[in-house]
Amino acid sequence: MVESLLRAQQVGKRFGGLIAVDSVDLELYAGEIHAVIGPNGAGKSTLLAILAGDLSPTSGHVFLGDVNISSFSVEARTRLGIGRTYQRSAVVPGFTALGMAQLAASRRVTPRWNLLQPMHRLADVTAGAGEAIARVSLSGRAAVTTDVLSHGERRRLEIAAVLALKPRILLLDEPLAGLGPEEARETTALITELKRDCAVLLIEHDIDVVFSVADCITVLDNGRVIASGSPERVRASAAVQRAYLGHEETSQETGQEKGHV
Amino acid sequence: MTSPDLERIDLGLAAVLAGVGLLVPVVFSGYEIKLATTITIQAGLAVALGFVVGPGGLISLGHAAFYGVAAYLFAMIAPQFEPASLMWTALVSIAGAALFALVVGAVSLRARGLYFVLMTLAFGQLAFHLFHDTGVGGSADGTYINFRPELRLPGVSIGFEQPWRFYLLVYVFVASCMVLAWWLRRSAFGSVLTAARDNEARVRAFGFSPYAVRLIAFVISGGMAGAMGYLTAAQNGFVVPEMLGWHASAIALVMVLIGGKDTVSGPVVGAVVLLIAEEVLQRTTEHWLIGVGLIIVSVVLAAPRGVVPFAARVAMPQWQRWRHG
Repeated sequence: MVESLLRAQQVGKRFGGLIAVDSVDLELYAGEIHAVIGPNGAGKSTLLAILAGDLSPTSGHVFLGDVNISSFSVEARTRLGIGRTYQRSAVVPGFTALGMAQLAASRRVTPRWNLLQPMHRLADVTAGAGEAIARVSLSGRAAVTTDVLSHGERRRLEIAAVLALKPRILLLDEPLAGLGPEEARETTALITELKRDCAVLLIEHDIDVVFSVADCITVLDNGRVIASGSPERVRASAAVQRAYLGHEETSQETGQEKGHV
Repeated sequence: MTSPDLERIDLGLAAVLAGVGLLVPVVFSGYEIKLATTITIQAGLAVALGFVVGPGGLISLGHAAFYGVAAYLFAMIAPQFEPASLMWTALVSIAGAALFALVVGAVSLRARGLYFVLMTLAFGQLAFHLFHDTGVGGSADGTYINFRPELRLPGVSIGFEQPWRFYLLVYVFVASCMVLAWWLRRSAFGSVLTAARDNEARVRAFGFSPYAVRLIAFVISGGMAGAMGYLTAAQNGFVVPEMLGWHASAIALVMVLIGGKDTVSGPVVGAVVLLIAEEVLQRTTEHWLIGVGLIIVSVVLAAPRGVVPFAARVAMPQWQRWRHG
């Protein structure tokens, strides 16, 4: 049996009386895109935040290979090869697009005192950052400061920056949100390409994209896993039909919070 | 990261200041050189503080403690009847200040924002009271240092009793600190430090520990502040607890903010403006502190980001117009 790269074991997160994530099991394998879908408030972003280390679980564990990383900080997890993008573009003000990718790429500079050099003198960093920027077709905008970039460009820069980290595991939080059709198509193609290099966990609202690219889909509702498996199996699941796919429009429009007490 | 224009002006201004600084011993003598020495040392302290306040976004009210601890260390290790070795005493004093900054930073950086300011203030006052009230280092009266240190090189030793020589020594120290601050600000390390100030979550997601990065910056800054305390002790020939007090920290902070925290030349300009204004006003009125206060208020109102960025904004279009005819 192939061993999973990243594994959530009975992970739960409580905010006071609200259970955002409830005993979730999830396994992420190398070379696959694992999508997590569910109505708004289902706990998808909370789950991703737990895997990335932004939130610590109130119950359960997160394993990277055999190592229990539940208590590891965000930066420690990044060093171990987990890269993540944010749902809302978190660019660094004042930096250029290239500068931000360089910042990410400089993570891998060894020995560490080489960081005393200016970024542009670090050949590996500049090359790695340039490559990452090129992969999201932002090369023409490399010298533009992040404040000036359009929303779509920021979303792409978000992905470029995480690619510059050269992660083994990629956690993508709604990478297509707010993108135009052309940008969305390009980004979808890129995500499909990325699974060659890393395991991808994808949170995405665009169901068509999810069913076309994902190798495995986990459906969350009210913080619980209601279905998990291949796209075909998930599509056929009665629970999913009931909870999500059947009235996808309504749940997205009303944006209802489904936490229970 | 600052705009390239501001960076260029900053560098140009730093070069001009360095040039003007070299003229001091040629043009002036006696009291003026001593005053210039004091101003230069304070400028160095402001550069040290500016490095954590600007790129680090860390407002420290405890930097005078690093400055003062180094001064006291020098007073304690300096031999009574002969000049001390510059190399060794400076090294020990600066290392001591950096070590103290490591302790203060390691604890204070666990707190954020105003609480960080409070922590540095508390550590600063703790150090002040240690020297003021416990009998360490001569209590409230302080301690005397009988000789200025001398630089011992193979076959020759250089003394600094003459004001111009001591001024040049100070010049070298402060210029080195400016070069170091400039280099660090432009380095990849400086980029990470600035990014941690502006978007901490992002920097953590890039695998850097903002805590560690800030601590390194804080220790380097503390060491630089220590170097200035060492020089002050050597210049005055005595140390007093007031050197460590929060008042001294606050004045250094005012210099940084007046000149511009996002530049290297800014803190120097701030020190020069503030101390020369003080000197001039002191000669004209006994209510000189009111005058100093008015100057600070006016500068902050007119140029909230500091004199240097303000001047850059005003001068840059003129310069461009002139250059392109």
